[in-house]
Amino acid sequence: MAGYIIRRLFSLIPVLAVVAIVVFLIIHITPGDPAAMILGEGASPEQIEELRHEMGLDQPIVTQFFLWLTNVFKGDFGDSYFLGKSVLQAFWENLGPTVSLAILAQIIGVTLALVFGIIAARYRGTRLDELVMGGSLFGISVPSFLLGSILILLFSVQLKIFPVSGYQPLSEGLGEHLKYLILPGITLGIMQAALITRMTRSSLLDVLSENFIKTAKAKGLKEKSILLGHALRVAFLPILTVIGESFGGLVTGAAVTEALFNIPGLGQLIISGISRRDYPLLQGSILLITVVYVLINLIVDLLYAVIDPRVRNSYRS
Amino acid sequence: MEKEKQPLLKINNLKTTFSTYKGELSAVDGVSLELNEGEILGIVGESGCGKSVTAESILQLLDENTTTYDGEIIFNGKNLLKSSNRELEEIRGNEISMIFQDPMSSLNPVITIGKQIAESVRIHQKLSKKESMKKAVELLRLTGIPSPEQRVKEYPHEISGGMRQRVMIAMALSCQPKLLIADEPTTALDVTIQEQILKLMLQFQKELNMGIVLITHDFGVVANYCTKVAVMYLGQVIEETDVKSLFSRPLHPYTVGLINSVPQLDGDRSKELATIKGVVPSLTQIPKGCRFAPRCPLATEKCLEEMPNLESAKENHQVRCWHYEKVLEGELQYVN
Repeated sequence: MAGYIIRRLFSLIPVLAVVAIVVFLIIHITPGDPAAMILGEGASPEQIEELRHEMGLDQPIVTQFFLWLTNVFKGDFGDSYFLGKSVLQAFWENLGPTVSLAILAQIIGVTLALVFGIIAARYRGTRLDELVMGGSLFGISVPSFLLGSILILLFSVQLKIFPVSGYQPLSEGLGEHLKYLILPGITLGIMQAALITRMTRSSLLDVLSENFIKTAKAKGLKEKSILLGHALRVAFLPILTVIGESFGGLVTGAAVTEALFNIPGLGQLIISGISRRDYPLLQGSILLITVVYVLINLIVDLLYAVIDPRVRNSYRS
Repeated sequence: MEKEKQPLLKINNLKTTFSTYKGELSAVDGVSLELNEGEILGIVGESGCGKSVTAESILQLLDENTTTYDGEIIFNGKNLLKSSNRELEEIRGNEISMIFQDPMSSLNPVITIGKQIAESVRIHQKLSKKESMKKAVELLRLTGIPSPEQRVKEYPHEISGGMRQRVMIAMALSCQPKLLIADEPTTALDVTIQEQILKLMLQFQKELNMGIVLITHDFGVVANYCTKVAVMYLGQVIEETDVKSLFSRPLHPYTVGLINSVPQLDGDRSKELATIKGVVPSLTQIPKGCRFAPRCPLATEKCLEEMPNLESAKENHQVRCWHYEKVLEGELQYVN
């Protein structure tokens, strides 16, 4: 198993290399000049040229790339042009809120999805099934800003249960932390649930037509034990894949929801970086997000082995 | 006069229907069978003739959303088709057990075989986890699996097909059932293993005085192991008798055809192997008269129009054919 993890970590290297090159190129090819951004509209071309020289932006792009890459290997991702701190620090500060939100949203999403997915599979073809499937279609289709706005209107403005927006770190206490995260968590959770519910239902239906389910029934097992004890364990593999993928998506791309609820997360960080052409910040955070994404995938793959003994065997060899 | 003994299993006019998008399909149409304690009833026929559906109907294992059962299945004096879910759960795996055709896919791939056996013991005998696991080891030992203490910790993909079928047998016999339904238990196995598995079943059958419903398409198995036979075609029983009568004088042209098509070791090699022409029609195209008529060498106008009933041709020998007398008179060649 340890050998497998090490091999997987090594396979990270080419992925990161490709991401580094592509991100670097796209950022530098995109029109827009950080020097001009820093100096503002009144700057003369000479001033801009001078700052470009200071920042090293007048050097050939290959030179710039290798300079950046060497520093990255040393663990130095550079400093943000605008934030007044290192890229690593900014990334680290914004990772916390995003991960908190992602975990909460995923807990809400998976719980809803398993409950409704199992119900839909158990009562397949009935009105209940149609209702759940219709609901999940709604969840997939509704845009997050709309769902979020409705929740704000209902729970913050009308009922005044939760704050409209903002964020409190965990150090302020779990209650305070969750109070701010619950509405964005529900917004993202419902959207996650919609997708995972469909996967749960179809995966369960596949498994329920397998022969070993008949064996379980012929043994005299109750329907509940067949569904939860026998079918769900086997059906969980593809569900886990979707959970992993969507969790990766949450960590990296909940920008709209973060903006709506004004949560200082990675989405916000990157969007502000793009609009201000903050090259080091963008390059660094995208590379780091890639690492996070790949690590999440690795964890999912390792969880397969926990669930399925056949996968366990293949990792050993 | 001694009161007649009640049969262990009595199926009366069983009809199993599937509702599909093509309409109502009648997979089993009026099957009646009887089995006493200690008897082995063979059900034979081609693929798609309703053998497995009959077997699974006994325990009502088919998809409940699309299947309707009609008729009576009386086990130990109790009509299973009228029993509640809870009553059925108590009978399944306890008084009636089942072994399936494909041991590869009939065991849960993510649960150890020990747990899978222990589970049936636990639910029916209210044993603790530890006790039921001990019982699982014992059961595996009885089925002849070496070092069962190790094996119980293994997963189905780690053991061979023959071994898996032994696990299925251990599971099925864990509560010493009165009736065992074996749906082609050896079809997916090597010939050498087939014999071992059947012998194992027979050994337990004698010890427990079980009744067995053995579904097969292998006449060799029927001849060697069964007490009586029912031949099925397209959802109906077309001939039913004891094994000796069947092989000495089959009466239905279909049965004759089936037995003739079994290759003989000492047969005439220059002669072509007998076959039954055509294929079993699908359930959406059931013939109007005798269901076998379109493929039958003896079919007449009457056969195509009117369905014959299953009637007694001789003592203990039922046949569903308008022309069985012609078969008796030797109009069809029977090579056995």
